[in-house]
Amino acid sequence: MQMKFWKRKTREPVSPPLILSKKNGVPVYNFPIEVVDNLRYTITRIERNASLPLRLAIVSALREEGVTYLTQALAATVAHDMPLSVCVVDLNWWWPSTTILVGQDNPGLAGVFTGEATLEEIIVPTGLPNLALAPAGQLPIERRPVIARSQVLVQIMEQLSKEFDHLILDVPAVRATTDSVPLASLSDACCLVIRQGVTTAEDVRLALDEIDHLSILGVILNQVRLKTPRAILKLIPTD
Amino acid sequence: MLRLVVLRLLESYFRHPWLYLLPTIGMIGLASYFVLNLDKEYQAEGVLYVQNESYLASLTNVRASDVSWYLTAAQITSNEINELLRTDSFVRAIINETDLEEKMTKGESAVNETIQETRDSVWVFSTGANQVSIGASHEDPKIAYQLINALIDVYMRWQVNGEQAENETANSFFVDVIDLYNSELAAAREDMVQYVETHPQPLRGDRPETEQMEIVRLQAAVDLAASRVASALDKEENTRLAMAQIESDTRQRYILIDAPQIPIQPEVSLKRIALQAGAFVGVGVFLTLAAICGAAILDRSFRFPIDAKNRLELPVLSTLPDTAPYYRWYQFRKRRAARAQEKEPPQPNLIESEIVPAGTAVGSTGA
Repeated sequence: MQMKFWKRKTREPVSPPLILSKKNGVPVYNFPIEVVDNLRYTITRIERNASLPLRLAIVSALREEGVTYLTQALAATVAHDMPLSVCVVDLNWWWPSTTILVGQDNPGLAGVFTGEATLEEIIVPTGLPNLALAPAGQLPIERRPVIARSQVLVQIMEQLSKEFDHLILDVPAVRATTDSVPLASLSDACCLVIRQGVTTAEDVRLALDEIDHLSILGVILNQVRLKTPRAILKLIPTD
Repeated sequence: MLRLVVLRLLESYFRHPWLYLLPTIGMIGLASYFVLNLDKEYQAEGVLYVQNESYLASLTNVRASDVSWYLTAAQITSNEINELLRTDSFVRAIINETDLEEKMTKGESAVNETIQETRDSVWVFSTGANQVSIGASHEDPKIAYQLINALIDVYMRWQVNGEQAENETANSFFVDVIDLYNSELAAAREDMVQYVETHPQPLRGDRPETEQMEIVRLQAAVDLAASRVASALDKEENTRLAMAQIESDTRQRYILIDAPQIPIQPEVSLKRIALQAGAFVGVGVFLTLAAICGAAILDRSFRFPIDAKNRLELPVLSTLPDTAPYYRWYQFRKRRAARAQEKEPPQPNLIESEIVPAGTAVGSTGA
């Protein structure tokens, strides 16, 4: 028998990623367990101080900070962990999230405004029975400021609030368009997403100045990649 | 706040560690190049033994004791020589006794260069309580040898001259005073003689009391002038003796134990190597630190949760890790599965390969 001089370290079992699938069971998204765990921590922190807001807006100062990804991951985590119905409301007509969860023929919220479809028709169910998606659709650029400040949108939000326990709003970047402030105002509270190493303090401060009338639960630092070795970070805590 | 500064500096460095180390590495390379190409020089060394007080001085008290209780005699001497080396006149005196003197006739700049060169070529330090090591390096072994000898000679001469000057001053003072005192003594004696001649002794009986008193007064004046002359003569003799003793005393106090030799093999001065290498490495480290600090200052983004806490005064709900590496790994697995599927007959239930990573969707939306 050959003698083994070393024993390979067995890896600890890792929790599987959270998979978001279509209603027919075809998996579409998978969120790594590190992200899901951190979002669970976020939810716990929010609930420690107060309950999770009925309408929670995820906002950022600039584009490409990961708001859409974070919105979907947060909604999936809440729906997966809690017996609550959750709906992701995409209010970003500027850069709508064209995911494969939404069919090409779905006119989205834009279709509801034009009377092309009803609210019930545009809601997209997912593999998680208590999670749904309200896509943004294609809204003409000149109508966006009007719709963002319209009572129709307020009524739609109220209608959605009746149907779901929680609405998670995907709002465009505050510094990218002036319409994001009235859109974010549709929520009860908001979380500010900051992309680590990219968004500057000045941009974030300006964005916070614009939404200072809203209840800001806190900051989510996204896409964190620290280069300092862990051994050093253990000696100097980062929070 | 300090923690945040330290964290930001560390992160700034570890983002591009090799880039930041580049100036230091470059400067180390340059230092190595310069050190390897340093001109080899000839070094000559000598050791001087310094006594606190010579036997002659202890007997004659010719020199006031200037021994410090916290500095050794060697330290005092080395400090004194190093201070003197900063003066041009001292260095010029050294140069006068060497072959470097020829350079001193080639104009102002050549003079300054030669003085500086001489100053840099010579070093003095104490190696014990009583030993002073004196060294010199030069491209010409003869000059290196001459420099040490000249330094020792000029220093000893400076010592002798310094103390001689005081004695010479005292001596000339006393010589002047003695002449004055002698004339005063002569005048007092003359007064006495004249008085005695004009007032001779009476044939019978004693002198009148007034004469006696006058004679006593004149005698006292003569005695006083004589004592002053004697005292001045005594002091003048002492100064002359001291002048004679000082050179001997100085020779006794400074004894050359190891006489310098004309060096045979050239060497590279360790001091020069250390200075050259140290300067280069110092500049490199400075550039590295400046780059790290500059990058940390210019980086206005958020790097740590403590950043957001400090700058925005908002709670940090969570820090989500960058999932790009995860999705890269995921894509790799997917491609590998696809390749395997091409080779093998299709399997009906390969669900995982159909999963679309969320990162791809995020990138496509640009939100």
